[in-house]
Amino acid sequence: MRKVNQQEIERLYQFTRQHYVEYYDLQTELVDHLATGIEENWKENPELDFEKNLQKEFSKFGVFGFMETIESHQKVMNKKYWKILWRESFQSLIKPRTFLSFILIFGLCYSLSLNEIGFEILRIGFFILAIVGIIFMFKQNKKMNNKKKENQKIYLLEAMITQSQSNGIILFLPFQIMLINHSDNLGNLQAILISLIISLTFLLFYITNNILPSKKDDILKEVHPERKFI
Amino acid sequence: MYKGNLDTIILKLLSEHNKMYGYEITQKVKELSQGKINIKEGALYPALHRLKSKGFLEVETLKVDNRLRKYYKLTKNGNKESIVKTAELEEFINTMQLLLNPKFNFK
Repeated sequence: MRKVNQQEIERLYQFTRQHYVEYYDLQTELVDHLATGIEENWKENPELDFEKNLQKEFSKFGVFGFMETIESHQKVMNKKYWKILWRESFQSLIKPRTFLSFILIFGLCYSLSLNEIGFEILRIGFFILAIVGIIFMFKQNKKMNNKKKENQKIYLLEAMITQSQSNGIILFLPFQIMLINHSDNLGNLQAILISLIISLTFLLFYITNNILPSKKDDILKEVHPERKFI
Repeated sequence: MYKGNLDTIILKLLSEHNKMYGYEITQKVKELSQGKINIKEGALYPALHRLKSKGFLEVETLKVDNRLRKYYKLTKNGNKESIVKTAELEEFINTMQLLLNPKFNFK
């Protein structure tokens, strides 16, 4: 029976990339599906051209092609990423050093947010931090896009960790704080709430930009044990 | 016909087979339904990913020929879910049969 050879497997990977499947984990699953379908067709018609055979198998995915599969994969990995993020945040927070830093940031923010000048300092500080964060995010995105262009085998979770995917959401909170006008008289409860949000933002920022990237290989090993085959 | 029951079909199939891969599932459904049910690949993988995300399925990847193949297996929770879903579907089919073939009582 005619089998899909290595060159044709490479062509299938290229085909999935051409159809917007950017990440290697999903590409691999789809390549095997297409290859199995192609081999089944060859059982009945061994002379069938590879490209025609490929189109025949791809048409079985319906009018939207791989789109629905890409979306579902993204959703699953998003859920996974946030689960890992919360797990790591909790594990870090129970460490005395991180917990103490968290309390110190909270205390500092609280004392600053109680008077108008302090709150202004806090706002300017956060504005600078947000700008730095955005620049960092763009740099990471560029790095990942270059890797994609070079056709390197990138897993979706790997991209999420490298690009510190949650940064966008984390940076959104400080921007909200910046919009609060201190002349509205910041109450004690509001000051506690703002300080808590800022401390949590710092914690998440630390986890997404330090802890997760440093544990990237272990996390990928845990989620994608099949990497040992590559 | 099977649209709302795709998850049940997958869970049931996997409860009867130790592990299966995507293409194998489509072919098995076709074979068992004598060609009447044809699972679209565009629907199959989102369903598999959804079930995996809910913790009902786990994945084992093996090297087959010159490529990697992902096999799906039921987890403990998946086994329980398979029993529940199958029972629900059977009950639904029985209810539909009562509606479609009512037994008249001439008392």
